[in-house]
Order: sequence, then structure tokens, then C-alpha cells
Amino acid sequence: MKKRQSYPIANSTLMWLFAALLMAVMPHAPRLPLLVTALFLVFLSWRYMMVIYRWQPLSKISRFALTSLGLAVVYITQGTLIGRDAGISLLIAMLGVKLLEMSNERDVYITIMIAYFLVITHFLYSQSLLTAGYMFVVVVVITTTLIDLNRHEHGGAAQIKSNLQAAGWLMLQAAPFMLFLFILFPRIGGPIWGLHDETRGGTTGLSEEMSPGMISNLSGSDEVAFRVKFDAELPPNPQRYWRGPVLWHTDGQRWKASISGQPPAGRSSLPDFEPLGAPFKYTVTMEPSNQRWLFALDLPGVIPQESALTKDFQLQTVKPITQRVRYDMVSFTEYRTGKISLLERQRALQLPAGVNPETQRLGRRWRAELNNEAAIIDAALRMYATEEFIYTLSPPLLLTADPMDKFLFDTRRGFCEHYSSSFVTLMRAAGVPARVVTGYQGGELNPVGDYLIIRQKDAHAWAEVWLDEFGWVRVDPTAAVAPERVELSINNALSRQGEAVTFDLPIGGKLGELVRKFRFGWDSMNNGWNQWVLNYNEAQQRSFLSNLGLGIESWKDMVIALAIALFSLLGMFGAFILLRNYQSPDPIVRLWKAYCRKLSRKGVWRRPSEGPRAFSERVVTMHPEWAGDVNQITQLYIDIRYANAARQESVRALRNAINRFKP
Amino acid sequence: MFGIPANILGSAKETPRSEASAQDIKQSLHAVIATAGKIILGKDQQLKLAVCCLLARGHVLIEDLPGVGKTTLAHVLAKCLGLHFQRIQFTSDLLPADILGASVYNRNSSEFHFVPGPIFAQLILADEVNRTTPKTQSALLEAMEENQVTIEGKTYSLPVPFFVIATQNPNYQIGTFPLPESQLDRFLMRLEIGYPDNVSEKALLKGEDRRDIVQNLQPVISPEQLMALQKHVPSVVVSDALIDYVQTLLNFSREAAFYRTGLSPRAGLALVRAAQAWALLDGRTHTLPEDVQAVLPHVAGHRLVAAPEFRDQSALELASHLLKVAVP
Repeated sequence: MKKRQSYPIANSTLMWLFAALLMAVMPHAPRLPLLVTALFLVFLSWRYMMVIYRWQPLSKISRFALTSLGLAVVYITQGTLIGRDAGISLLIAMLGVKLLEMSNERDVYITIMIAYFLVITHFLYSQSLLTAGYMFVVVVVITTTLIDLNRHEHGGAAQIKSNLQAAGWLMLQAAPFMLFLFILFPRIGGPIWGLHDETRGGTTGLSEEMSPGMISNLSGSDEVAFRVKFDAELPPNPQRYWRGPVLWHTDGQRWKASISGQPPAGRSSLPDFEPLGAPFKYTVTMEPSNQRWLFALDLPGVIPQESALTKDFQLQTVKPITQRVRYDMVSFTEYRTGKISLLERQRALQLPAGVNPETQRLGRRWRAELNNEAAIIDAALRMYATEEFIYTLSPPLLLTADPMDKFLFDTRRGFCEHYSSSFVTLMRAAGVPARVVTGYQGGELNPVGDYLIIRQKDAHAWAEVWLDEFGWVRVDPTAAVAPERVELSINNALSRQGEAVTFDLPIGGKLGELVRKFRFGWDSMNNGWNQWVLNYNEAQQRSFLSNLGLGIESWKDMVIALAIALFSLLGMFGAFILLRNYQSPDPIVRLWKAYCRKLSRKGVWRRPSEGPRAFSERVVTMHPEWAGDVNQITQLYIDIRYANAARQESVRALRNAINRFKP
Repeated sequence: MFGIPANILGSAKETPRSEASAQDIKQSLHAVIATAGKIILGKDQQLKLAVCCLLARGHVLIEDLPGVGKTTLAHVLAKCLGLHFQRIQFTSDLLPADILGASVYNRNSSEFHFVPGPIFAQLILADEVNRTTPKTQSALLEAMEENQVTIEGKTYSLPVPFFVIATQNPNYQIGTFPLPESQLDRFLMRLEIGYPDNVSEKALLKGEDRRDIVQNLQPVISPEQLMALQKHVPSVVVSDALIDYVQTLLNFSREAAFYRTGLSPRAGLALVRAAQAWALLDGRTHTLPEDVQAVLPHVAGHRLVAAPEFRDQSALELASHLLKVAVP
């Protein structure tokens, strides 16, 4: 085979390529070993020097040595050459070597393809909107490189602009194909390539245990726990208690669901309570928590798929939530729960003997003095409200065997877990069945998307007590200390050791307004991205397609539909190009095309490059019976179009002749 | 003057133009082609193109292997048209003066006396033009461009009509000076003759000596008639639609990946002129896209430079891509 000659690669192409590679590699830098990034940058700068100062290309031996060096660096820093991280390190190191070796057009094509591949590898780490947006920009730059490589003239600012325009236009044309592929490409169940163990590191959130300081730690986190979209109006803020783990058992310091860790009340297949008010319908999109709780407004009225409801109204999934989940819920904020079993009553009165003696004594005294459950609760709440209790994010440590005693009678500074656990301890000492409920309270309304954002800092703990005439009743002792807690969000930016909690008041002024708008807008976009792009899994795809009602059900249907969609898109593009040629402003040309169309219906096609006379000669040889009409029409057309004949009468004659012509 | 028939110098008398004569023109020209075709067998297309070129006042470059009838073609055309014929064999030691002529001292009159060179003829056969040095080549090419020569400060007009048929062996042969692209542009058309087909070759091999037949040929039309015909060419109608088509072709040649450089505006002019002549040859007073297509490969072929990827393609192959451009 003859060796194909090729152009020297233009400097402008190389500069585009360097920019594209830098843009594609740099986001990996924080994840790569420093040495690999450094190696790549050295190779890139080297190649740059070769362009600018005309350094000599490397010999075969030095290229081999550099390749070995790259391999060695990856192996030493990663300990292996396979797997995601090592693979990407290897790809980037070898890309650097390839840059030094690159000499002809083909090498540049290969490098560009590797750059495209590098773009994909970023999605193994992050699928966020930001990553996708940035990668879109990178793809535009890479495509621009490809366009520049295929140009024969180079240089000038106008060139840059026209390259970018061409790349943008290409991307725009690709968009409908992308859309169809996205919607119709069959999704496989399960996380992609089982990568989630690697991608989901430590997630913060509530767990099945509560100890002093646990929730106050969460309050420093702005991370989103879940988002809620209500079908109709929202419940008022003081009713927004998002129920999570319910804690029964205490050793005096920590609270757990039970000794065994299992909820003591067992599961129920139906929500066992009597709703009093109107239901709230909403959809929750929950971020992965690595736990099994689904959060719902107190109390949940339905049970989502693949989950169960415990008798103490916790929603639990079968498997830990490692991916974003979305579920529809119905909740009742006003309710009366059912009966309490003997076992439940026993559990709800459990207290470790001999721990927190002062607290227990106070509870027993209230029982003796008041002997009325409502009065007891009232006394406790009054104590929190009137005595010098302070609500703080960073309470002093309670390093004693009797932490409740120390909190109630000494430090009196605490966060919601202190208030709820001391309250439940007091109730139990006074003989009132009580339990701790953890979850989230409140949430921020995003006016852009009209949904609530519940963040980790909204984590909360409250109490429930058993009253014979009402069943389980929610009591929030924190609200007695700091009523703002249930009205406003915590401002975690300014809290210092031991200081009382401040709350987020709306920031005044135009700037504050702008910042808030931006924040809400951004969150709303992210939420849309999560819901409609990332969460488009097997189940979503199936429900979306069945809602379309096109009868696309199995993956086989999807493949067929995809093929049809893509081919019809191609057809549409083709038709568009044809139509553009077809629609001519000149009436003569339109008449001529109408005539050609008539013939094409009879199977005689004019080749685009065929002149009128050559065409009519061909038509007459194929169909001598049309000779008269064809010759007349062709003669008129030529006279008008090529011999500058007087137009008016001739055009009329041509139109009549073509109308008369019935092949 | 200079021993050259007087009728060939200076301009001929104007003949009145007449649209009705288009068919007559066709007939007289086709008579020329038919007569020439009796000697150069099976090459009617090349003959027609050569006559078309002559009609458009352009010059022809014939590029082919030796022995396919390049010289005969020139000779026959000269005879049929009654043109004064000169043949210049280009060699590497040929000097410009050998073509243009020089002043010679006359002892009787004690004066320098200009002896015109072989270029003072109506039809020049410049044989193997790529065998000579660029200096001599440019002497010929300048004469072709200017229609006059300047020797020792004195300008001499060349005869009219003035028609050059240059021949050239394909460039890869050793010891040649290929014509640069800028000079190739001086030729309106570049033709290839090619081997004759079986039937023609048989007739050729069986028949009498071609040279004898050529000697006995009688002119079909006179040079004056030819010049009158040449005057008709610019009046052949070129409509806007046709100009659109030519522009589409030019744009294609400038944008398509096949070519490193596209066609120049001068090439566009040449294309239109050749197409007009072709239309006239066909007895028409208007130009059709078919006329452009007929002359296109021969007008465009030697003016296009292939992109590196398409360097293997011949000039005709390269130009044939243009034939696929849609007629608007």
C-alpha cells in the first residue's frame, strides 16, 4: 500500500489540542497521584516547547524510556495498573507520552479520540450538573480541535470564531440524537459497573443511635438530605416534622432503637392510626444515606414499594439506600394512634437503674404531686421555658455517669438531643410512657422550583408521650426553650462554643436577595438534573415510556424504537437539506422542478448535475412517446433561463405546457 | 513583408453578424471537423475541442505520449483552415531568438535587418514545449499572451489569427522543465489524445501514408471566415442562470477537499468563453450548462492543484469531480 502523504500539523491545531487536553485532564488532578499529574504536565510543556522553539522530536529509544517511566510511575503510585483509578492514571500518563510521539495527522486523531474518552471517565466520579456542564464545554473545545485539524488555512481570530461556531453547530445537530438515545437506550438495572461502593464515601445523616452531640454535629452540614415537592399547599412550618428513627432504649447516656437494634414494635402492613385532618400529598427525592430510613411527614399514610412500616411509624427499606430514591407519600399531620401493647408500655417506661438519680427523683416527685399526665408534661415544659436553659449548638461536654443530672441541674446548655432525651427520661421517671423520635424539622422553601429542601442541619430530635385519650402525642421540648427553632432555620455560620443558637433571618438588601435567588435557582436546576437525568433508571424509563402510550415495553421494543427514531432523524436532516435546494425563489426554477417531479413519479430522475438538454434527451430515449411535450417544455425552459427570452409570455407558455404534461 | 502571405497580417474585414447564421456556422465548422476527422481517425471529440479552442481565441496544450498524433492534429487543422503553419521543435538548447527572430547585418545595404523567427505564423506547433529551458518557454508564452513580440526595442505584431498548439510529454519523463502553474494558465484547454480505438487503428494501419493525405488537403474555410466566426463567440448569450452555475463550480473547487487551490476568476472567464465557443459549434446563440460541462474537464484540469490526499488522480479525474456539482 502506498503511504499516504499528510499535512504538517498546523500550530493552531496543536494549541487547540493542548487546551482541550488540559481542560479534560485537570479535573482529574485532585484524584490522581501528584506524580502522574506532574508527569503529564511535563510532557505537555515539552511538546509545547517542541512547537515554539522547534525542539527536535525524540528518538525511539528515549520514547521507549519515557513510556516505561510512565508505566513505572503509575504502578508505584497506584500499586496496580487495573481498576478505575489506576486505569485513568495510566491513560493520562500514556496520553502525555503520546503527545511527545505525535507526528502526523493520524496521531492527532488518536489523541483527540483519547480526549473524548477522558471526558467520559469523569462521569465515573461525578454525575453532577456542574460536571456535565463543564464536560460539555470540553467537548466543544475538542470538537473545535477536530475542525481546526481539517481546515487547510489556519490562523487569525476570525478562524477561532468560525471554528467554535462550526463546533457549536455540530453539537446542536447532535442534540436530537442525544435526546433519543437518552430516552430510548435500554437501561440496565443496578448501579453502573457496581461503582457505587467506591463513589459513595462517608455520608452524613441520622443513624439508629443518638448520643449527646450527634445531631449538633449534623447541624454544621449544609448537605441536602432530601427534597420534597407538595402536590397542593404546604403544611405550616411548625407541623413539618419529618419522621425518622424512633428510639426506645437508653442506658442513661445513649439512646438506641432497642437492645438488639431492631425496632421493638414489629412491622405492620397498614398504617395503624386514625387520621383526623386532610392528607398532604407529596413526592420525596432522597439523597443516598447508606441507611434504611425513608423520611416522611409525621405520620406516613402509605407505604412505598420495597419498604415497610414499623408499628412506631418508621418507614424502612429492605436494602440500605445507596442511590438517590424518589417516592410518593401521603401524610396526616393530625391523627389519633391506636392502642399501646403491654410490651410497648414496658419498653416506653424503661430506665436504667441508678443512673441519673436526680432526674429520676424529680420525675417521681412530679408524679406524686400532680398525678396527672398532662400536668406533668406541662410542668416539664414550664421548667425548660422559665428556668435558665440555653439552646446551643456546642454544649459543654457531659463527661459523667449521670449526664441528664448534669444537664438539667448544672450546665443547662444543650441542643435538641439534650432536651428530648432529658424530657423522655423525666416522663418515664414520672410513669408516663415516652420515646425519642429523631428526624428533620422544617426545611427551606425553594420558590424557583416550589419545593422544600431539607438539609442535614435540619436534623432534629423530639419526644412522643402516650396519653390514653389521644394515643402517642408529639411533644417538642426544644420548642419550649427556643420557639424559633420550629419557625426558622439554624444559622450555623456564627455559632461559637457554648453560645446560644442564632437563627437565619432573611438577609436584607438587594445583594442578599440576589444571593438567595441564585442559591435557589442553582438548587432547583440541580434538583431537576437529579430527577430527570440521573434518576432516569430502568423503572423510570419504563413508566415514562408506558405513559407515552406507544406500546414500548421490552428492551427489544426500545431498540427498535431507537433505530426508527434515529433513522427518521437522519431522514429529516436529509429532507431538510433537499428542501433547502428545492425551494427556489425563482418561479421558473420552481416550474422546472415541478416538471422534474412529475417525471420522477414515473421513475425518471434528473441527476442533480444534469443540464436540461441532456436530461430531456435521456427522457426521450427512455420514453419516445413523451417526445413532443418534453421537447417543447425543455425548449421553453432553455429559452427563458439560458437564452434570456422575453419572460412574460414564455413563462405562461411554460406553465401551461407543464400543466398539460401528463406522463 | 518578410515573405509571409500578406493576407495574414493585420485585421480582416468585419463581417456583419447575423443570428440566423448560427446554423451556417455550425455547418462550416463541422465541415472542418469532418475533413480533419478523415485523417485523424476516431478523435472527433478532441478535434472538436481543438476547434472550439481556436474559436475562443485560446491556445491548446496537448499532453500525451509520443506517436499518438499530436503533430498530425496540428498539421491537419492548419491545412483545413488554410492557416500559415510553423513548427518549432523545442530542445534544451533552443534560445528565445530562435523562436522570435533576430536582426542580421546586411552587407549590401550596410544595415541591420530583422529576420522574423518561426513564431510569425498563424498556427504554431510548439512541439515538446517542456523540453526547453524556462527562458525560452517564457518567450513563447509571453508572445501568446500579448499577441506581439518586442525585439531590440521594436514591437512587431503577430499575425491574426494566432493559434498555438503546444505539445508536451507527460511530466515524469527525464530531462524536462515542467511548465509552472502560472504558465499553464495561458492555455485555454489541455487535451489528451489517447490511443485510437480498435476500428480506427485498423483503418490507420491499412490506409495510405497520412503525410501524403495532409499534403493534398484543401482548406475548408479561409482565415478570414475563421476570424469572422471568432467575432461571434462573445455575442453568444450567457444568462444569469449560467453564471450562477459557473460560480457554483468555482466555489466548489475552492471548498472541496480534492483541491489545494481552487479555480481563479481567470479560470472562470476561460470557462465561460470556452462554453460560448462550444455553444456556437453546436449552432446555438445561447450557452447551456451542458456546454460548460463539455469543456469543463479540459479547461479546469490543468488549473487545479490536487490536495495531498488526491495527488494520485490525473488532471481529468480531478476535474471530473466538478461534473457532479448540481446545476442550480
